[in-house]
Amino acid sequence: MKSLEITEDMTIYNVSSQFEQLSALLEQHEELEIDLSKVHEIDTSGIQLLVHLKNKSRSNNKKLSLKNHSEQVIEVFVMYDISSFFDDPIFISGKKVKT
Amino acid sequence: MTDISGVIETFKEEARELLEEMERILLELEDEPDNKDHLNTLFRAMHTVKGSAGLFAFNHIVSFTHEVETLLDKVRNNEVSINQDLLSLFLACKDHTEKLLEETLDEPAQKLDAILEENNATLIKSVRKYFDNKEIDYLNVVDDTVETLERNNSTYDKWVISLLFKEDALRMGIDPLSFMRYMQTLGDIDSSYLLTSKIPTDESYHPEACYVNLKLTLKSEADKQTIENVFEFATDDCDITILPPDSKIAEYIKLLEEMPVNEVKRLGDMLISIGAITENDLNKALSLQSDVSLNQKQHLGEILGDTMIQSQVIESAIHKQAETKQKLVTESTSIRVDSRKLGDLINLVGELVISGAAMNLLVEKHALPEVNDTAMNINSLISDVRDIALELRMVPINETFSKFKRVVRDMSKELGKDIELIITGGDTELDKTVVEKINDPLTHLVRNSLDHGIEMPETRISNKKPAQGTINLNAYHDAGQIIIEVSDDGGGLNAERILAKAISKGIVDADAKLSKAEIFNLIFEAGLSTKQTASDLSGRGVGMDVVKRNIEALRGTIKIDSFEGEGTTISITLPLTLSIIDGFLVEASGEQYIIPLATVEQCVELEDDISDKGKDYINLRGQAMPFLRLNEFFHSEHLKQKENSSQRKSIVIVRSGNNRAGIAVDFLHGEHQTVIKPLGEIFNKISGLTGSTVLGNGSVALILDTQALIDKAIQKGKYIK
Repeated sequence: MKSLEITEDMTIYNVSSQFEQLSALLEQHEELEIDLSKVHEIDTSGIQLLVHLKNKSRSNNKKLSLKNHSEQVIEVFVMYDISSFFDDPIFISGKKVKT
Repeated sequence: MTDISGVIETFKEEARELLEEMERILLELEDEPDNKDHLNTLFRAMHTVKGSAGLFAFNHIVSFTHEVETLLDKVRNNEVSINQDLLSLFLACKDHTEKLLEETLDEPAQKLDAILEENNATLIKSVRKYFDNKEIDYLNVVDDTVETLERNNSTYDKWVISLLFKEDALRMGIDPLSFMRYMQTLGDIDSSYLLTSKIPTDESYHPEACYVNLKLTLKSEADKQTIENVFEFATDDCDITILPPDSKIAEYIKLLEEMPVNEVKRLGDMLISIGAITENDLNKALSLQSDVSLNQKQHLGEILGDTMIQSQVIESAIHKQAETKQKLVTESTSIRVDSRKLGDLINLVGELVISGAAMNLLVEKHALPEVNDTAMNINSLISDVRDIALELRMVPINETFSKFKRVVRDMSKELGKDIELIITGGDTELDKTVVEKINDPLTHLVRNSLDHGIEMPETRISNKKPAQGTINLNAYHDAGQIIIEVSDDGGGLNAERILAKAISKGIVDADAKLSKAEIFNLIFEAGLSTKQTASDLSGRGVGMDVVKRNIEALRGTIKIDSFEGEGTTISITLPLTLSIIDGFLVEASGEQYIIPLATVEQCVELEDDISDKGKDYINLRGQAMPFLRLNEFFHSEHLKQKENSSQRKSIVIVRSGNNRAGIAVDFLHGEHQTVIKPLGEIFNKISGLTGSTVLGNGSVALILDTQALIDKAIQKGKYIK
């Protein structure tokens, strides 16, 4: 299983390079784990990228999981009500978030 | 129980007017089936009838008109197309509604009688047939992206916002997340759905392109404009739909209802002013409307209703708009007044005119210069009041004429003839009481033309006439009278056959020598019909005599002119009004007479040398003019005592139609406002008089029937010749 920590923001500015990097990794490995703890900002293009990768992994019978969601990522996941789509455990650090 | 009969009477009248309008429009639709306004008016008429009937719980009417209304709505929305059959069906429905109105008004709860019930059922069945045929529900055409979210109960107090991004949106720096963050400051985002199904999983995916759409529900007190402002900068890259919460709908509808009805606003402006849509919405809808190609032009309401606001609000606004329009129309053009009140007013004006004349006499007698000015003023006011009061009762004859469109349409179908009705002079006005009474005689004449006048198409073609026959209804004013003509281009009258028939019926002697006009006049005699077989429409030989009597009862005359093979023209001459006229006061042998001023052409002095007895013509500037001596005509025996008077006589030349004659009188007294009072029964046999009037000094003057006098003068001249 390959694990990767993303250290940059997942925004429109980086999304192209992240797409290439992550697509390549997903090509090579059966399982990919992405650590989101250092992602301090994520926008809609970032979410789109994650959805794209998740869908792709599913259609290729591979496994993609997300872990250590940062607070900012959680906020967006909640806002878009999209956490159930990824089906990864999210640890909520004491903050009350509406589901 | 409160007495509502007065209200019901109003309802009845209103409904009848609406139905009449319906009929008129249906007939016009035959010629121009695409006229949207007509369809809307039809729908409104039926809708109003239904609504008012509902108020009084006339359930039979409500349930029937509801079906018709539904069908009309479908026609209006282009779901059912107009054709001859449909128009006939609507006409039948209109007739049936009228019958229901007659039958059920007295006892709304009563069961319908069998025939009506059966009619009801058949008509409803044929109306419903149209529903099943075509079921295009435009609600289904609504963009599927607004889907299930919007009409479910959980949206009661929430705004439903849906954002469809264009592919470039993200590249342009738009991030849906920022909208959401901003919206959180306006209220509570209740739920959101990121529609991700369009994100491709294959190579076509481009990380910077936008594939997602967003829907969310928002609990907020903000108005639509504020919410729309959130997306102010995104309008180029994003299609935004904001539907107000259902709870707002009630509020919008309430606001609409409370809107003042003093001006007709455009639909869009109405909706903006209550905050139901924003200016932006309207512009978008308008540009959408102008985009669609002509054959599928949508109403603004439909476009708005599709995407920007719930259709209940649109309906309510449209309803309000129609209501305002109607109210303004009725407010500005007419008020309903009991005709009895008008009658009272005119009677009083009549008395005022007489009193005014009395005052004039006194002023003259006492020669008071100061009073004179005031009196003149009052006189001119009286004559203004008189004119206006009389005008109140004047209605255009078109109301009566246009009824015949239906008669002609239906009867020509029944008879298998092709007949066109041409109406001219429909805006000629005449007294309401005359209009009411002219209807029956006119119906008779039109039916005669339809049945006997116009030939079958084959006959017409073999006679080198166009297959389509024409009936012309015409009205115009002439010399203070109104002339109504019914003419056709049919077979015309056969003088020999009429004469033969009249002789066989014993109406005239076998050796009578009659002019053509006299023969034609025979058809006004009772018991004469030249058609061999009587149809159920006309031709039983009753009728023309009744027509003549009816016209004469209105102080009118009827004339017939016909050329065999070319057609027949019947002209009815009627006095303009039955109450007050401008008269010309004259005197003969101490008796005063009124000549209707409108018939007076000129006055000339009668020269001595032609005042010989037995001479019945004068030379009027080289023209032979028959005349009558009024004193001789009315008082032949007392004439001798007065004969010595060396008084110079005057002749008043009067005209009626193309005929002129002189009336010789002793004195001319000048113009006089004449209130027409009926003559007693005993004067009925005297021809040449139409009524009497009271003069200012209380004496009575007789009103001359100029038409009859002219005829007499011409006749008398003939015999001597």
